[in-house]
Amino acid sequence: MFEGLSIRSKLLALLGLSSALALLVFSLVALYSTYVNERAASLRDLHQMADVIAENLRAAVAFHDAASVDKLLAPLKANPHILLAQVRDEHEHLLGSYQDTALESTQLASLEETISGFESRLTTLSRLDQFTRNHHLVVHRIELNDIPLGSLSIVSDNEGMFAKMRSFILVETVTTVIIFIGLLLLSLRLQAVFTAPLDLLINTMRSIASDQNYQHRIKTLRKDEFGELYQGFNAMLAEIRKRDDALNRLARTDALTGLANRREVLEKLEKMAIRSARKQEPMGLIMLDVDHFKRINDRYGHPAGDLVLRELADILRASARPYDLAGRFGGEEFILLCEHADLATSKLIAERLRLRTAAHTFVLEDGQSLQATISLGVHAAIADPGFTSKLIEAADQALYAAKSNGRNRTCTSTDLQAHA
Amino acid sequence: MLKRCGLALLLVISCSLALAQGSRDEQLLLAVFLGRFASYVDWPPHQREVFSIGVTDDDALAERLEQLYAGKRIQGRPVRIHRLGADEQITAIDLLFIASSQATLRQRQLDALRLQPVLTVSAARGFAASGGVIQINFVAQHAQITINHDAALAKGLRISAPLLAIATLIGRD
Repeated sequence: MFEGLSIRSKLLALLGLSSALALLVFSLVALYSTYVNERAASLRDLHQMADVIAENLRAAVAFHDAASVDKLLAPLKANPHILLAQVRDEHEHLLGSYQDTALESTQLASLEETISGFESRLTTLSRLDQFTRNHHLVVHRIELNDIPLGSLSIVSDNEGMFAKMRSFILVETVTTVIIFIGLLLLSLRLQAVFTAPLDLLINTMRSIASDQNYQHRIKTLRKDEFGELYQGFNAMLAEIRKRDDALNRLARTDALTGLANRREVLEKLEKMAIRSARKQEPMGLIMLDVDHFKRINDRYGHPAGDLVLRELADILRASARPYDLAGRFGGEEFILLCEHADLATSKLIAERLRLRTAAHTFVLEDGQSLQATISLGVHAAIADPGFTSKLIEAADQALYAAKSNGRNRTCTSTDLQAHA
Repeated sequence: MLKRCGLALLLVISCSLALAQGSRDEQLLLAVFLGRFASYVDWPPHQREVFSIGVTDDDALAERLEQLYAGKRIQGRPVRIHRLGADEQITAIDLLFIASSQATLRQRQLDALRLQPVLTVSAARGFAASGGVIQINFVAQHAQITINHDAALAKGLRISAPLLAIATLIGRD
């Protein structure tokens, strides 16, 4: 049910709920504790009051002096919470009493019944108390030289205690709300401890997904779980980068010779053509083909043919200039793109290739050796981007001419024009 | 007529019985209260080993006191009850209840004990005013106590505040 929420919101909700729950439990415990303490304090206060009054009443009770009893109870009027006070002699006859004017007759009857029940238990106990929802009462035995003279009962309402409780609840509620708001604000700050590292990770991930730059790394000195996460993320990026490079290389390289494949050659040709056109400089194309390659395969087998192709690729690499691009164009056909090279320069390179190949001895795995030659077609021109196929076509036609003219030779596109 | 006389007789008998019962209750209360007075009075130090209560002219009360305080102690001492005649020489007692109905007789006893540390008690009207220490009267079985504090002090008796607080205090004069 929380899947739709962000981690930030979840953390806030979690911290907020935890705080609220903790505060609620604390408040309830404090409230209950205060109630218990206040209840005990109310009874204690009433007992203390009864102790003092009983002491003062002793002589009056001892001599059944009802007038003095009433006189001694009269000051209870000053306490608005005292509902009823009664003094009885040793025969439980009412000797004197104080009664709050607001006390109703039904309440009085009920309280007197309660007091009566309590007094019968005073034979074994010197004092008793009771706490109910509406009032609390104490009953004290009055003695003279350890001889029971009578009893004093005082009933108080609970308003005094409830007033204190209401005040406490108000203060506690306000304090709880303030603490909760404070904790919520603190939670807003604290959640950043968890979400900021995640945000950094997410933003980095989005950036990489956008620009495919797997060289990006998250710099961190963290030693915690986020530090481990960052290190793992960086390691994963490095691995992706490594595999990406390998795949890229495989996609552009000929598996047998290690030279650029046809796709790579065509892409580079297009770029070279653009530069040639922009600079108005000629560029050269050399197409070459192994002479009688089928015969080599037929006579020595395909491994021998592969060996010839691999070693020819080595010669091609060694003969090309650093800024030229050598590639395998298909089968036993190779191509060399010569940047910033006119026809003469291109022909010079082509001849160097041809002579080196002719001079090279191909040694097979079984110890046999063979010689092979190549035919080359050369074309050079200021390129026209978008029409690079014409460059290839011209070089190819020159190659065809070299093959037709006896192989192991170099023909240029201008040679063809001359013959035409 | 006979019926009326019979009813009147019954009424008189009933009233007499009620009065007799009330009198017995008051006598019991008086016996109890005499012991309780002792709890609120301090006597000058003396060497007597018993707490002596003298009763003049009221054997019934004396008998009630004997029953009530048999085996009991007042001020930590066993109680001894003395039945005294109106003219009997009074010596070595702590509390004297004077039941005599004749004022002159009471006054003579009071004068004889004027400076003696004897707590004098009586239910007679004007007893405290005439020099007795405690006068006790019953109204509907509720005691009304009058104390002559000056008389008590003259005898070296100290009456504690709670008893003074509920009593009507008068001076001898």
